[in-house]
Amino acid sequence: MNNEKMISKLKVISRISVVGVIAYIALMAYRYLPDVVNGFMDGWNSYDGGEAAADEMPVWKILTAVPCGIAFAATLIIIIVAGLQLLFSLSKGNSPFNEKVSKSIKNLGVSCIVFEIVRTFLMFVTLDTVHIGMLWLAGLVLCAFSLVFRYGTILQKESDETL
Amino acid sequence: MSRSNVEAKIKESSLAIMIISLIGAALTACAGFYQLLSDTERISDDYVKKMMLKTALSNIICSVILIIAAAIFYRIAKNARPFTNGNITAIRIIALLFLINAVLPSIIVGMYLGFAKISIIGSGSIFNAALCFFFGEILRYGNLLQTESDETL
Repeated sequence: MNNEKMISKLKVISRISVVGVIAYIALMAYRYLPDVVNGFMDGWNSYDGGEAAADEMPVWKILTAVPCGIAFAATLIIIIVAGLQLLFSLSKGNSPFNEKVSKSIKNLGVSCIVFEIVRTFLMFVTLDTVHIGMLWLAGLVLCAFSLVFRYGTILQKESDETL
Repeated sequence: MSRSNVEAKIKESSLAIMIISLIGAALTACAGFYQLLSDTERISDDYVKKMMLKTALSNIICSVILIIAAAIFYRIAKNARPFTNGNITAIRIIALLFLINAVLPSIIVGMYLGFAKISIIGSGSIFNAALCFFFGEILRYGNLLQTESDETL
Protein backbone atom coordinates (compact mmCIF):
# COMPACT_ATOMS: atom_id res chain seq x y z
CA MET A 1 0.00 0.00 0.00
CA ASN A 2 1.47 3.39 -0.94
CA ASN A 3 1.63 6.53 1.19
CA GLU A 4 -1.44 8.28 -0.29
CA LYS A 5 -3.66 5.25 0.20
CA MET A 6 -2.42 4.84 3.75
CA ILE A 7 -3.04 8.54 4.55
CA SER A 8 -6.58 8.45 3.14
CA LYS A 9 -7.26 5.29 5.18
CA LEU A 10 -5.99 7.03 8.33
CA LYS A 11 -8.20 10.04 7.60
CA VAL A 12 -11.28 7.83 7.31
CA ILE A 13 -10.40 6.05 10.57
CA SER A 14 -9.85 9.44 12.30
CA ARG A 15 -13.24 10.69 11.18
CA ILE A 16 -14.92 7.52 12.42
CA SER A 17 -13.00 7.94 15.71
CA VAL A 18 -14.23 11.56 16.07
CA VAL A 19 -17.84 10.37 15.75
CA GLY A 20 -17.14 7.44 18.10
CA VAL A 21 -15.55 9.64 20.78
CA ILE A 22 -18.42 12.15 20.67
CA ALA A 23 -20.94 9.29 20.95
CA TYR A 24 -18.97 7.77 23.84
CA ILE A 25 -18.81 11.09 25.72
CA ALA A 26 -22.55 11.64 25.15
CA LEU A 27 -23.26 8.13 26.49
CA MET A 28 -21.11 8.75 29.57
CA ALA A 29 -22.81 12.13 30.17
CA TYR A 30 -26.27 10.49 29.82
CA ARG A 31 -25.42 8.09 32.65
CA TYR A 32 -24.98 11.05 35.00
CA LEU A 33 -28.46 12.47 34.40
CA PRO A 34 -30.37 12.21 37.73
CA ASP A 35 -33.57 10.95 36.08
CA VAL A 36 -31.74 8.04 34.46
CA VAL A 37 -30.20 6.97 37.76
CA ASN A 38 -33.43 7.23 39.77
CA GLY A 39 -35.38 5.31 37.15
CA PHE A 40 -32.82 2.52 37.12
CA MET A 41 -32.45 1.86 40.83
CA ASP A 42 -34.32 4.08 43.22
CA GLY A 43 -32.31 5.62 46.02
CA TRP A 44 -28.99 3.91 45.30
CA ASN A 45 -27.17 7.21 45.49
CA SER A 46 -28.97 8.53 48.56
CA TYR A 47 -26.82 8.87 51.62
CA ASP A 48 -28.40 8.59 55.04
CA GLY A 49 -27.87 11.72 57.03
CA GLY A 50 -26.28 13.50 54.07
CA GLU A 51 -27.03 16.96 55.40
CA ALA A 52 -25.83 16.05 58.89
CA ALA A 53 -22.62 14.65 57.46
CA ALA A 54 -22.11 17.84 55.48
CA ASP A 55 -22.51 19.87 58.67
CA GLU A 56 -19.89 17.73 60.39
CA MET A 57 -17.40 18.10 57.55
CA PRO A 58 -14.39 20.15 58.73
CA VAL A 59 -13.92 23.59 57.20
CA TRP A 60 -10.49 22.75 55.76
CA LYS A 61 -12.00 19.84 53.86
CA ILE A 62 -14.69 22.03 52.33
CA LEU A 63 -12.08 24.69 51.49
CA THR A 64 -9.85 22.07 49.82
CA ALA A 65 -12.70 20.23 48.09
CA VAL A 66 -13.97 23.32 46.22
CA PRO A 67 -10.72 24.15 44.34
CA CYS A 68 -10.11 20.42 43.83
CA GLY A 69 -13.58 20.05 42.31
CA ILE A 70 -12.95 23.00 39.99
CA ALA A 71 -9.54 21.56 38.99
CA PHE A 72 -11.19 18.14 38.43
CA ALA A 73 -13.82 19.61 36.10
CA ALA A 74 -11.20 21.76 34.33
CA THR A 75 -8.83 18.85 33.66
CA LEU A 76 -11.73 16.68 32.47
CA ILE A 77 -12.71 19.40 29.97
CA ILE A 78 -9.04 19.78 28.90
CA ILE A 79 -8.80 15.98 28.29
CA ILE A 80 -11.97 15.98 26.16
CA VAL A 81 -10.91 19.09 24.20
CA ALA A 82 -7.32 17.83 23.70
CA GLY A 83 -8.59 14.41 22.55
CA LEU A 84 -11.03 15.90 20.04
CA GLN A 85 -8.38 18.41 18.86
CA LEU A 86 -5.99 15.51 18.26
CA LEU A 87 -8.54 13.51 16.27
CA PHE A 88 -9.57 16.57 14.24
CA SER A 89 -5.95 17.38 13.36
CA LEU A 90 -5.40 13.72 12.38
CA SER A 91 -8.45 13.75 10.11
CA LYS A 92 -7.57 17.07 8.47
CA GLY A 93 -3.78 16.97 7.99
CA ASN A 94 -1.90 15.22 5.23
CA SER A 95 0.17 13.09 7.55
CA PRO A 96 -0.37 11.94 11.17
CA PHE A 97 3.25 12.84 11.88
CA ASN A 98 3.55 16.57 12.47
CA GLU A 99 4.51 18.85 15.36
CA LYS A 100 0.89 19.78 16.09
CA VAL A 101 -0.19 16.17 16.62
CA SER A 102 2.89 15.44 18.71
CA LYS A 103 2.14 18.43 20.98
CA SER A 104 -1.56 17.46 21.26
CA ILE A 105 -0.59 13.94 22.37
CA LYS A 106 1.81 15.36 24.95
CA ASN A 107 -0.90 17.75 26.25
CA LEU A 108 -3.35 14.86 26.45
CA GLY A 109 -0.84 12.73 28.38
CA VAL A 110 0.01 15.48 30.85
CA SER A 111 -3.66 16.32 31.44
CA CYS A 112 -4.40 12.61 32.07
CA ILE A 113 -1.68 12.51 34.76
CA VAL A 114 -2.93 15.77 36.36
CA PHE A 115 -6.53 14.47 36.24
CA GLU A 116 -5.57 11.27 38.07
CA ILE A 117 -3.70 13.21 40.79
CA VAL A 118 -6.58 15.68 41.27
CA ARG A 119 -9.18 12.86 41.30
CA THR A 120 -7.24 10.86 43.91
CA PHE A 121 -6.83 13.96 46.10
CA LEU A 122 -10.51 14.89 45.70
CA MET A 123 -11.63 11.38 46.67
CA PHE A 124 -9.33 11.45 49.69
CA VAL A 125 -10.70 14.80 50.84
CA THR A 126 -14.39 14.10 50.24
CA LEU A 127 -14.76 10.33 50.78
CA ASP A 128 -11.70 9.55 52.96
CA THR A 129 -10.66 6.80 50.54
CA VAL A 130 -7.60 6.44 48.34
CA HIS A 131 -8.21 4.86 44.95
CA ILE A 132 -5.52 5.18 42.29
CA GLY A 133 -6.70 4.32 38.77
CA MET A 134 -4.62 3.47 35.70
CA LEU A 135 -5.08 6.79 33.90
CA TRP A 136 -1.69 8.08 35.06
CA LEU A 137 -0.04 5.13 33.27
CA ALA A 138 -2.05 5.93 30.13
CA GLY A 139 -0.80 9.53 30.48
CA LEU A 140 2.82 8.37 30.69
CA VAL A 141 2.34 6.09 27.66
CA LEU A 142 0.87 9.04 25.73
CA CYS A 143 3.87 11.21 26.69
CA ALA A 144 6.19 8.48 25.36
CA PHE A 145 4.06 8.20 22.19
CA SER A 146 4.46 11.97 21.65
CA LEU A 147 8.19 11.30 21.25
CA VAL A 148 7.42 8.46 18.82
CA PHE A 149 5.31 10.93 16.82
CA ARG A 150 8.17 13.44 16.90
CA TYR A 151 10.44 10.72 15.48
CA GLY A 152 7.78 10.07 12.84
CA THR A 153 7.78 13.81 12.03
CA ILE A 154 11.51 13.63 11.32
CA LEU A 155 10.97 10.59 9.05
CA GLN A 156 8.11 12.41 7.28
CA LYS A 157 10.36 15.44 6.65
CA GLU A 158 13.09 13.17 5.26
CA SER A 159 10.54 11.46 3.01
CA ASP A 160 9.16 14.82 1.75
CA GLU A 161 12.67 16.15 1.10
CA THR A 162 13.60 13.00 -0.84
CA LEU A 163 10.52 13.41 -3.05
CA MET B 1 15.52 18.61 18.02
CA SER B 2 17.83 16.33 16.02
CA ARG B 3 17.09 12.70 15.17
CA SER B 4 19.72 11.34 17.56
CA ASN B 5 18.32 13.45 20.42
CA VAL B 6 14.80 12.18 19.79
CA GLU B 7 16.07 8.59 19.60
CA ALA B 8 17.89 9.00 22.93
CA LYS B 9 14.75 10.44 24.56
CA ILE B 10 12.61 7.63 23.11
CA LYS B 11 15.02 5.07 24.57
CA GLU B 12 14.98 6.66 28.05
CA SER B 13 11.21 7.12 28.25
CA SER B 14 10.50 3.64 26.85
CA LEU B 15 12.77 2.05 29.45
CA ALA B 16 11.01 3.93 32.27
CA ILE B 17 7.55 2.95 30.99
CA MET B 18 8.63 -0.65 30.47
CA ILE B 19 9.63 -0.88 34.15
CA ILE B 20 6.36 0.78 35.29
CA SER B 21 4.34 -1.54 33.03
CA LEU B 22 6.06 -4.61 34.46
CA ILE B 23 5.39 -3.46 38.04
CA GLY B 24 1.76 -2.75 37.08
CA ALA B 25 1.47 -6.18 35.42
CA ALA B 26 2.84 -7.95 38.51
CA LEU B 27 0.47 -6.10 40.86
CA THR B 28 -2.57 -6.62 38.63
CA ALA B 29 -1.76 -10.33 38.17
CA CYS B 30 -1.37 -10.72 41.96
CA ALA B 31 -4.75 -9.03 42.51
CA GLY B 32 -6.38 -11.19 39.82
CA PHE B 33 -5.04 -14.51 41.08
CA TYR B 34 -5.76 -13.55 44.70
CA GLN B 35 -9.40 -12.88 43.80
CA LEU B 36 -9.56 -16.07 41.72
CA LEU B 37 -8.05 -18.37 44.34
CA SER B 38 -9.37 -16.71 47.51
CA ASP B 39 -11.77 -18.56 49.76
CA THR B 40 -15.24 -17.38 48.72
CA GLU B 41 -17.10 -19.88 50.91
CA ARG B 42 -17.70 -17.20 53.54
CA ILE B 43 -19.53 -15.02 51.03
CA SER B 44 -23.15 -16.09 50.96
CA ASP B 45 -24.31 -13.87 48.10
CA ASP B 46 -23.86 -15.69 44.76
CA TYR B 47 -23.98 -12.43 42.83
CA VAL B 48 -21.00 -10.99 44.76
CA LYS B 49 -19.05 -14.23 44.18
CA LYS B 50 -19.56 -14.12 40.43
CA MET B 51 -18.76 -10.41 40.26
CA MET B 52 -15.49 -11.20 42.03
CA LEU B 53 -14.81 -13.83 39.34
CA LYS B 54 -15.50 -11.20 36.66
CA THR B 55 -13.07 -8.72 38.27
CA ALA B 56 -10.44 -11.45 38.66
CA LEU B 57 -10.63 -12.40 34.96
CA SER B 58 -10.51 -8.75 34.00
CA ASN B 59 -7.41 -8.19 36.13
CA ILE B 60 -5.64 -11.22 34.59
CA ILE B 61 -6.36 -9.99 31.05
CA CYS B 62 -5.14 -6.49 32.04
CA SER B 63 -1.88 -7.94 33.36
CA VAL B 64 -1.33 -9.77 30.03
CA ILE B 65 -1.97 -6.46 28.21
CA LEU B 66 0.60 -4.72 30.43
CA ILE B 67 3.17 -7.50 29.80
CA ILE B 68 2.75 -7.08 26.01
CA ALA B 69 3.02 -3.28 26.42
CA ALA B 70 6.24 -3.80 28.41
CA ALA B 71 7.56 -6.01 25.57
CA ILE B 72 6.80 -3.26 23.02
CA PHE B 73 8.58 -0.63 25.12
CA TYR B 74 11.52 -3.01 25.70
CA ARG B 75 11.97 -3.40 21.95
CA ILE B 76 11.73 0.37 21.43
CA ALA B 77 14.23 1.01 24.26
CA LYS B 78 16.60 -1.56 22.75
CA ASN B 79 16.90 -0.19 19.22
CA ALA B 80 14.96 3.14 19.25
CA ARG B 81 12.81 2.00 16.35
CA PRO B 82 9.11 2.29 17.16
CA PHE B 83 7.82 1.54 13.66
CA THR B 84 8.43 -2.17 13.26
CA ASN B 85 6.16 -4.99 12.12
CA GLY B 86 6.54 -6.70 15.50
CA ASN B 87 5.26 -3.64 17.36
CA ILE B 88 2.30 -3.28 14.99
CA THR B 89 1.33 -6.92 15.59
CA ALA B 90 1.75 -6.48 19.35
CA ILE B 91 -0.52 -3.39 19.37
CA ARG B 92 -3.14 -5.34 17.42
CA ILE B 93 -2.94 -8.17 19.95
CA ILE B 94 -3.45 -5.60 22.73
CA ALA B 95 -6.53 -4.27 20.88
CA LEU B 96 -7.86 -7.83 20.59
CA LEU B 97 -7.27 -8.44 24.30
CA PHE B 98 -9.19 -5.24 25.12
CA LEU B 99 -12.07 -6.60 23.04
CA ILE B 100 -11.87 -9.93 24.88
CA ASN B 101 -11.78 -8.02 28.19
CA ALA B 102 -14.93 -6.17 27.17
CA VAL B 103 -16.91 -9.32 26.46
CA LEU B 104 -15.45 -12.53 27.94
CA PRO B 105 -15.67 -11.93 31.75
CA SER B 106 -19.25 -10.68 31.41
CA ILE B 107 -20.26 -13.69 29.29
CA ILE B 108 -18.72 -16.15 31.75
CA VAL B 109 -20.50 -14.52 34.69
CA GLY B 110 -23.68 -14.14 32.61
CA MET B 111 -23.79 -17.92 32.07
CA TYR B 112 -24.07 -18.38 35.85
CA LEU B 113 -26.31 -15.46 36.74
CA GLY B 114 -28.30 -14.81 33.59
CA PHE B 115 -27.57 -12.05 31.11
CA ALA B 116 -30.32 -9.78 32.37
CA LYS B 117 -28.51 -9.19 35.67
CA ILE B 118 -25.22 -7.96 34.27
CA SER B 119 -24.05 -5.44 31.72
CA ILE B 120 -22.73 -7.61 28.88
CA ILE B 121 -20.23 -5.28 27.26
CA GLY B 122 -17.64 -3.03 28.91
CA SER B 123 -17.79 0.17 26.84
CA GLY B 124 -14.46 1.46 28.20
CA SER B 125 -12.58 -1.59 26.97
CA ILE B 126 -14.14 -1.35 23.50
CA PHE B 127 -13.07 2.30 23.36
CA ASN B 128 -9.48 1.28 24.29
CA ALA B 129 -9.53 -1.47 21.64
CA ALA B 130 -10.58 0.98 18.92
CA LEU B 131 -7.86 3.37 20.05
CA CYS B 132 -5.23 0.61 19.84
CA PHE B 133 -6.35 -0.48 16.35
CA PHE B 134 -6.09 3.17 15.30
CA PHE B 135 -2.58 3.50 16.75
CA GLY B 136 -1.66 0.28 14.94
CA GLU B 137 -2.65 1.85 11.62
CA ILE B 138 -0.59 4.97 12.37
CA LEU B 139 2.39 2.77 13.22
CA ARG B 140 1.89 0.98 9.89
CA TYR B 141 2.21 4.31 8.11
CA GLY B 142 5.31 5.03 10.21
CA ASN B 143 6.70 1.67 9.14
CA LEU B 144 6.31 2.72 5.50
CA LEU B 145 8.23 5.94 6.19
CA GLN B 146 10.90 4.04 8.12
CA THR B 147 11.40 1.63 5.20
CA GLU B 148 11.66 4.58 2.79
CA SER B 149 14.19 6.29 5.05
CA ASP B 150 16.29 3.12 5.38
CA GLU B 151 16.23 2.56 1.62
CA THR B 152 17.32 6.16 0.97
CA LEU B 153 20.20 5.86 3.41
